[in-house]
Amino acid sequence: MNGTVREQALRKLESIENMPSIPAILEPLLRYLSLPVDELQVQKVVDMISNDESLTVQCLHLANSPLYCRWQAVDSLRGAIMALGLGKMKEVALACSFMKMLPKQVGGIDPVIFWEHSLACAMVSRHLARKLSLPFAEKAYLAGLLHDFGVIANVTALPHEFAAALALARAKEIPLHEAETEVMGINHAESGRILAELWRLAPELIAVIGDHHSPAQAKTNRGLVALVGLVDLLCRMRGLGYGYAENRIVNLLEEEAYATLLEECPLVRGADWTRITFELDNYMYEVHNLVAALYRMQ
Amino acid sequence: MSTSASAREPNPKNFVPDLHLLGIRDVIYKTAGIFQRDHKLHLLKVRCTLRMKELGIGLLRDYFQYLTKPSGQVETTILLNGILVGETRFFRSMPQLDALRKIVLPKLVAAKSTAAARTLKIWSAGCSTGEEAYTLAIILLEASSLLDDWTCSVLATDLNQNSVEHAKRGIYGESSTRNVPPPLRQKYFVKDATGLSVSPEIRALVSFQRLNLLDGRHLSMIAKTDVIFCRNVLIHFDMASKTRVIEHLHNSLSPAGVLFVGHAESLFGVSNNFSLLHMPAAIAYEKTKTSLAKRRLL
Ligand SMILES: C[S@@+](CC[C@H](N)C(=O)[O-])C[C@H]1O[C@@H](n2cnc3c(N)ncnc32)[C@H](O)[C@@H]1O
Ligand SMILES: [Fe+2]
Ligand SMILES: [Fe+2]
Repeated sequence: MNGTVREQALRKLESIENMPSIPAILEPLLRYLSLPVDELQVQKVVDMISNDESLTVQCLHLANSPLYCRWQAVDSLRGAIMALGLGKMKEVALACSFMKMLPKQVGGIDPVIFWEHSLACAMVSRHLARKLSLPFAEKAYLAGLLHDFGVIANVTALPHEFAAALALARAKEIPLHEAETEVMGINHAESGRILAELWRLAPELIAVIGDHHSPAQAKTNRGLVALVGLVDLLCRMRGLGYGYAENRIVNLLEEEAYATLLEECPLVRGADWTRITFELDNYMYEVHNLVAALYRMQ
Repeated sequence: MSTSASAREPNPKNFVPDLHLLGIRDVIYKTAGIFQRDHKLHLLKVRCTLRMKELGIGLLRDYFQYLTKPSGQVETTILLNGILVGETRFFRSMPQLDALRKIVLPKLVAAKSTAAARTLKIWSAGCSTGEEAYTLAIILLEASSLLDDWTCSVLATDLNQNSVEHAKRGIYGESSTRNVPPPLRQKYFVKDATGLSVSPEIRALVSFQRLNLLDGRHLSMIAKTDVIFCRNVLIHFDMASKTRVIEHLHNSLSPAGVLFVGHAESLFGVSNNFSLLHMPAAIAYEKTKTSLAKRRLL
């Protein structure tokens, strides 16, 4: 690999002023939400979130979305937080803040498409983890949602290089991370790890963000990393990728992510991947609607 | 195209099936692998009544006997012609056809490039009135730059004699040709008084045969097929018949061959000898490699 290109990219990623900063509301909110659930007070969370108008609106919207299975309309922030559950607030707060972080149309990746991909990975990862009774099912949603955190790092710190990589991926119909490596000697998994460590995200999130394209190399949380890696691949093959189709033929059972997942979770053997694929297609509609609605609100 | 005796007939609530009607259901099941469920039995009766009028038979009991005597095979064929539903059209399920064109054909050409004979065989199993088979022939002709010095052929089979005859005639109306892209319509169809007639160039690639997919003896003569399209056929079968048909298809497929089933159909639970393949927005199956089969048993 071209050492100098890679070193230049790394230098840009490692200087903090180039990187997106953690949204103001998020730090205190996350710190508070990491207390045990029974020590949390709904009113405190309401107070924090209501400081941020768009987060408030998005909470309301999420609380009313079919994803959270609401039957009754929720019309107050307090109601929304109760409906979503305090345990879910971390997920919602992170999701909403990240949604706002991707600059519109810089680097050629359409934010709507990017969030559709992220949300699809989140939903399918959780669905699969529950269905296969995997021990980390409750962590799967957020892990899926944030797995491509590095794309945000790249778009912000290396906008031109990233745009070139995306253009190359599109033209050659190859996976995005391969094109990134080709263009700038580094891919979004590596840069994602740098940003995730900077933000001090939870260890399992750092693992997923950093290793989802090379799950066999993950040192911790291997099952979760492999699951998200596999779901990411599936989403890309079913039209929920980065806005283009990769020209390739994939046998999931021959994938590194599958072998790793199988080592960690033998229950995966015998899973019905055809059905899982059809179930993923079911999410397409929900994902489109939710992302469109969240974007309209910003 | 044959329509079944038809969804137009309402299902009479208090329809009580005659014992002989149940016997006729068994004849159909044993011959074609198709089981007429109770709520469809009244349609079977309509079909039988039509035939009985033509034959001058008054009682179902007599018709049942007529079907089951040694010479009844001919009548079974005729009855089946009315029962087998053949809804189909040109260029059905585009993502699968794109996958064939962009991924599977190049893969096969690469895999077989060292073979002595440069031949490529595609089989449309359950071809109905032939639209799928001619579509495949068009795709082969359009891939001429890739298949320059290759000898290609399409075998097309169906159990319904009427459909096979229609297919051989190769003349189609508006509704079944509506998906043909205009340039291809220009190039490969000739308009005459009766409709759109398939050009001789395409016809030359395709051969039609009446064939029962449950007939192992005849099926064993179809060997070394590189691509099988068996779409929207298995849905009519119960598990036992599906398993039998799929085993036959497995034997007919070349080692690097690919099997396409209908876009919502699955081989899960039907056969372990096939592995799922993902291509952009399309799935297909390949023969399970022995190393994987072993790994699965571990
Ligand atoms: C819905 S059509 C599918 C046509 C085409 N493959 C497509 O997908 O558009 C199903 C066909 O399967 C045929 N079929 C049903 N049972 C069969 C059997 N046992 N052997 C061969 N063909 C059979 C029917 O006659 C019918 O034409
Ligand atoms: Fe990724
Ligand atoms: Fe991804």
